[in-house]
Amino acid sequence: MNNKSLLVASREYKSTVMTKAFIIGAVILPLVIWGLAIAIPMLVKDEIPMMNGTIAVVDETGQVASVFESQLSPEFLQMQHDQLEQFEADEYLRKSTEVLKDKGQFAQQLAVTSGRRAIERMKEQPVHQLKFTDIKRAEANIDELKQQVVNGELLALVWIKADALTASSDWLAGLMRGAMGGALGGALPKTPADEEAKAKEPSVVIYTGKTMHVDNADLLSQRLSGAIVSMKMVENEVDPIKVQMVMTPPDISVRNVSESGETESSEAANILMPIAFMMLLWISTFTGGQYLLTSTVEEKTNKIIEVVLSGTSPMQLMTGKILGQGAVALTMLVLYAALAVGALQKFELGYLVEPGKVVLFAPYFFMAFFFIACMMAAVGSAVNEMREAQALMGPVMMIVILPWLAWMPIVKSPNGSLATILSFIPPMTPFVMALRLGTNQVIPMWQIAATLIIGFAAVFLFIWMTAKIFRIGILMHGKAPNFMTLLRWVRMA
Amino acid sequence: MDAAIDIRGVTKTFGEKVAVDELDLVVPTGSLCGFLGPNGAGKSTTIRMIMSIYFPDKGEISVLGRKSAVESKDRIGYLPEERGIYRKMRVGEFLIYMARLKGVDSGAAKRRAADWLERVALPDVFKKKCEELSKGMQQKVQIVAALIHDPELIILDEPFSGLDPVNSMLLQRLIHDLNDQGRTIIFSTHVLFQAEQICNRIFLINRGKKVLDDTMEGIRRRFDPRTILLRTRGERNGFDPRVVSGVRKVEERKGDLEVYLDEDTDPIETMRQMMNLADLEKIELRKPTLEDVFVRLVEDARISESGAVEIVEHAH
Repeated sequence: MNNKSLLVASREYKSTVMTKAFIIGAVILPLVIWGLAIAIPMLVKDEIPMMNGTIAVVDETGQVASVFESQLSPEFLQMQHDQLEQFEADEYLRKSTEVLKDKGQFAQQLAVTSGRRAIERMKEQPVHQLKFTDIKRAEANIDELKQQVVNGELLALVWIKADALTASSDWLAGLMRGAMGGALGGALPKTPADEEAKAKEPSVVIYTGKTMHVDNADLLSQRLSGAIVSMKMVENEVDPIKVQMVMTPPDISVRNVSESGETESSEAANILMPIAFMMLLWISTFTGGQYLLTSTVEEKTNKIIEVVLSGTSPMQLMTGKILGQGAVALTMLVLYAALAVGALQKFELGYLVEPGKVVLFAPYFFMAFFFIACMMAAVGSAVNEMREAQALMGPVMMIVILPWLAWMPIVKSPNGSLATILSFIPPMTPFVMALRLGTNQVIPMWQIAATLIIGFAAVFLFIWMTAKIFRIGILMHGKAPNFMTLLRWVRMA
Repeated sequence: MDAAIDIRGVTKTFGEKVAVDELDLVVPTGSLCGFLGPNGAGKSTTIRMIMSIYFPDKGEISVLGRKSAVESKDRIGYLPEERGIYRKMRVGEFLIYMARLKGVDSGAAKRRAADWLERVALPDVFKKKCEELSKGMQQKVQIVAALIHDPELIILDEPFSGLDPVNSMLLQRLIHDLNDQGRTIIFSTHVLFQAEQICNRIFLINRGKKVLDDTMEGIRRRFDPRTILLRTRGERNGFDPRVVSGVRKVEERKGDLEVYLDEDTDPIETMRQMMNLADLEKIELRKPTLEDVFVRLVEDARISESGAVEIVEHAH
């Protein structure tokens, strides 16, 4: 390494990174998006208003109202709230999700995270100050009561019909009715089926004013259905605890068996991580590569090249430019990886990033960058303007895009023959390996060693070829070169 | 005294086209050389080979005593014909970058950049972006970039093109100053007038071959004046210069008489005789301009098939 290359590199880095375009496009924008992704759930979390008023209850069964009312009394709600405050949520969640451990850390963590959110949501519930007036069916004028809801004299009207404890919800009929009504609108003629449908009106109705918050309406209906279900159990002499036990599904663990032992298969993590690894590799190396192409073409079109060559040799120039843009790519990688890890930590999925794999990822990053950089430097030095560069990039991009097309089979069987073969075809090597390393499968050590050796051998070949093209191309003006011209330059000198 | 540049038997071809053909050229240390030739004569190719940007197909070049300019890039200042600039870079940064590329440490580079901008009458542009400058100003910045590392050998490819008369004068003075400090300077141009005024040595190439290589004095001596310009006071009163022996031909141009002399006539003696014969308002020995030499040599080369050497002989 010499001084002049480092000077070129530092100029290259500064002139790329210290531009508005880079700072806004590559730094600020992702930061803003990241910030929004973190902040939006916080902003969306709105205050649930406290209900303060009277609910009229018309109970034709004569059994449900008292249970329902007691479950919503201010005293009861206050007690629930106090209990939640003292509740050791983390401890409980950890224990209750212990059974999920077999399903892998990812599944357990997911359960803990969603459980914690649910508990937080419950804690946010205000202690409502509700009064109830029970009205007998015979004395109730439903329409008048509805009017009172509209006026705001009543918070809600709950109408529990006589068949509430015997009817089961006929969801299929309801679905059909909705679908037909939706399709034909009001034009549907009255049929006997309509009469039947009318008979199947819901057995419980809650009328609320427009101002009632959705969550509060949900609370009313939840408590009401809870009351009805528990009354049904009493009526049918069913033990609620037994029902709970019967309804809990067993834990089923899917295990991958291989020579290296059993590993857990966790679908979500298995797709998330490989794609994240490859995206990072792709974005960072291509950003650096693209800047390298642009700056090289710019130096040619601006005719600055000869001025610079009066101070450096073409090789020092090329080395410097590649190093400088390598630093740009590395900046992007570190920045984006930090954002990704930050987001994972925020959602408590940080353990998904295994330090051992990150260490292995590093050499493949450099390999990928050198492949891309060589292609960009060769193309950039050969063309007269950007437009010509696009034409030459075609075949190059075809090779590198292949891992994208094949990502699904590679991720599904990272040690399958497709994945293994593609890993050994040089410009693709680092991208395929990034995908494979991203999965939770163990990639055989010999393959890692072999792909590193073959990959870096190819990198040196690429650099050697690029050096030849660069030295000739950089001073060449005129006819747009094609792929064969480049090959001829490699053979020359 | 070593030659700053020594080119021996150098040939460079691009495909079918022979750009430089068996060229020999020696630039003595401390000289101020004009490198002349019509468009496409091979000037820029030769200069690029001196700078090791191109490599000769045949022959040898030594620069500052080394086999290749690569080894002495930091001691050479080069202004290419196609001069670009980093448009988005600030002038000061650009100059510091160029200085550091040529081995000046960063503190000195900064100081020199400011000094040089002062020297070329661009004191306020240090922090400006290059693209904000006019073309002429950019050119001065580029000239500074070529000189900022205090080179022993300065090669300027068409340095005057695009400069207004004021800046041309400034550059001329600069070139003289640098040469007075003992630096070797070679610049290419096709503005002969400038070369004539500035240089103490001239190379003229045409179609890749050297046509002329001499000091300014040598050229004047070789293209010895054979023409006297004169104008009589008032009417000519029947004066005919042809009465003086040795006059070959007389032409009248804008009231002046151009008197062409025979090869072996002493022009001073002829002038004395003419002053005795007529009442003259002016009489002068016309010096050949490079323009004359240039046109004559290039024209001759077009007519002649037999190459440069014979033309130079013929000129004697």
